[in-house]
Amino acid sequence: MQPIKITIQGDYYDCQIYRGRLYLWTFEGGLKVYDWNELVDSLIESDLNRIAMTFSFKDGNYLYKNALIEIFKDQEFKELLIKKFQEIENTKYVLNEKQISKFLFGEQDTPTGLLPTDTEIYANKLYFITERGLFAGSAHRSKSDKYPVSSRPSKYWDCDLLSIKANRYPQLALSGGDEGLFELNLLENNWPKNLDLIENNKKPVFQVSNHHSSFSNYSYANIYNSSLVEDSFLALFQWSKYEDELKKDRYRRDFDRTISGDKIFSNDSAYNYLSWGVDDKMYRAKKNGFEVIKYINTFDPEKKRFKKLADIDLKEWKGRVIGGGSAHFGNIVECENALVVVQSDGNTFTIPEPVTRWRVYPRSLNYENHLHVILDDRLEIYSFHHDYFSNQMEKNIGIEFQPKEYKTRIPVSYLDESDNDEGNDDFDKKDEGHNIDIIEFDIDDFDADDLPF
Amino acid sequence: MPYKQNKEHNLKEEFEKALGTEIDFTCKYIISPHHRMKGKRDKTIWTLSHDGEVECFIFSYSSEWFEGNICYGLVIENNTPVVVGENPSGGKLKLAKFIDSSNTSLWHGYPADYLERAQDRPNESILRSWVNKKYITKAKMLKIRSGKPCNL
Repeated sequence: MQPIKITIQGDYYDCQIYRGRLYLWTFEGGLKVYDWNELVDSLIESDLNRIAMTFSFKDGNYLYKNALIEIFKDQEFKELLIKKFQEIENTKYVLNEKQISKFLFGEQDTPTGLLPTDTEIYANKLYFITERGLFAGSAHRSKSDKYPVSSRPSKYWDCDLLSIKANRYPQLALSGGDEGLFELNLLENNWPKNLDLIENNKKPVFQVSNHHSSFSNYSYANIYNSSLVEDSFLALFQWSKYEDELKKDRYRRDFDRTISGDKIFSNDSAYNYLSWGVDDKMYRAKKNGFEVIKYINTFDPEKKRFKKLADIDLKEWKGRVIGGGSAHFGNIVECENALVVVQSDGNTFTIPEPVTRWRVYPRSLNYENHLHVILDDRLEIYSFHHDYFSNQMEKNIGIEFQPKEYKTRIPVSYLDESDNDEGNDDFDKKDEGHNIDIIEFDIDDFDADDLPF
Repeated sequence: MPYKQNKEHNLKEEFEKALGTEIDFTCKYIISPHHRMKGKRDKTIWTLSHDGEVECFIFSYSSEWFEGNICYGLVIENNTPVVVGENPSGGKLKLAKFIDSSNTSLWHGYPADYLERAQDRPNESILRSWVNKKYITKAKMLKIRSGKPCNL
C-alpha cells in the first residue's frame, strides 16, 4: 500500500493542521489559513472515492475503532476497503496557490513578523518560537474575527529555543540547545515540586535538565530528550499523590530522574547516532538501520521499563541522521538528504531530497495518519492507511494505537454523531453535525481522574 | 595586507575599497589569539589565514549582516560557503561571528558553531539575506535556526 498524496504548490516555511483548518506560513512572512475539509471535498470527483478520501485526509481516527477491528477480521470487508484506497493511490492531487485561494479562511502577517522556528497548536492556542522567544496567542478563531490567529500574541519567555512539543497533561517541552531542556507548564497550580522555576512571566517555565537538547517529545508523562551533540536521555516523571484542602486525592506530576540513552539501548553507539522516543517506543539510529525499544509505562520500580523489540536493518541512511519522530503509521527518520518513513508494516517510503520541514500529528484526533513535508516549492500532504490493518499490540514500529486513550466526552469523527456513548453530557447539542468543532478543553479543569491509569 | 594577531587594524581604507566610496565611520579589527590556538576546550579556531579572517569580516560588515553589535559572516566561493574554522572536536565550521563587545567599533571574531551553541545562530534577517543571495537554501536556513547539521 502506498500513501495517498495532496500537493500544494508554493513557498512555505511551516504548516499545521488543526480542527479542520490548514495553517500555512509563507516564506514571505504571511500566515494563510484554509478550510481543509472544503479543500479535500473539492478533490473528490466521485462518490466511489469519498470513503477513501475522507478516511485518508479528514478522519484518520475512525478506522482505528474497536468495532471496525472486528469487521476487518472479515477478509472481504478488509479487501474492499484496501481496494478503495488503492484506487486513489496513483491519483495526482495537485493544487496551486490560485486553486486553493477559494478555500482561504483568513490570512494575516505572521504574528511578531518573524518566521517561526517551530510551532504547536494546542487547546485552541498557537504556541511558537522565534529568535525573540516563546509566544502564544489564540488560534481557531471564528470567521467574524479579523485574523485567524491572534496578531498580538503574549510573550512567555525570551529564550531563543530550537524546538517545542506539546503533550496532553498539559505541558510543552522546550529544547534550548546548550541551555538545556525546559518545560512550560500550562496548569494554574499543581506544578512539579522538584524542578527549578526559571521564568514565570505568563506561565511557569521549569528547567528539566541542563544537558544539551536539540528536540524532545513526550513518552506518556516523560520527556525523551534528543541531542545532536551529547548523549540523549529520558527525563522520567512520576505522579505524586497528595490531599487537597477538601481532602480529595490529587496527583502532581513531579520530576523523578534522567535515564541515559546508553542505558535504554543495547547497541554500542557513539552520540552521533541520534535517538528519539515518542509514547511507547524509542529508537536509536545506527549505521544501517535502527534499534527499537518498547517503553513500558509502569510506576512500579520493580518492573522493567525497557524491552528490546527489534533491530531494523535498512540500506544506508541518505546522509547523517539529523532528526526523528514517530506516528502510529511508522517511524520518521530525517537524514541530511532525504526523509525516510519506516512504516509499521515493515515497508519503507523515501522522499529523496532535503526537506525544509516535516510534521506528524499523532496526538491529534483526525490527522494521526498525516505526514506533512515542506519542500523548496511545495507542501506535500501524505496519508498512510496501512496501519489500520496492523496488530497494534504486536507491531515493532510506530506508536501503538490505544483506543482507550482516545475516549472523549465529545464526538470527534465526521461519521459519528456520538463517537463514544460514555459521558457525553458535556456535548453542546447545537454543534451536532459539525462534530470536529469540539468543546474547548479548559486546562484549568485538569483533574487526577483524567490521568491515563 | 598582512594582518597580525593582537594588533588593532584600522580598516578605513579596506572598507572604502570594498564599498567603492569614502566612509565616515571608524571600524577597527583585532585578530584574537584565543581563536588561533589549538587545544582550547571551549574555543573554536580559524582555519582561515589572518588575511582571510579580516577579509571575511570586511565582506560581512559591508554586506550589513548585523544583529546589534554582532555581525555574521561567510566566505563564499562559487556561490557556496566554505569552511572558515573548526570546533574543539575538529568539526568543520562555515559560519563566522564577529563582535564589537565594548561598542567601540573595535571588532574581533571567531568561527561560529551554531550546532553546539544556540547563541551562535544568526537571526532570521541575516539568514533570509543569505537565502535571497542563494548562498544557502530555505531548508538550510531552518536547519541552522533549529540547530541541526546541514551541508552548507
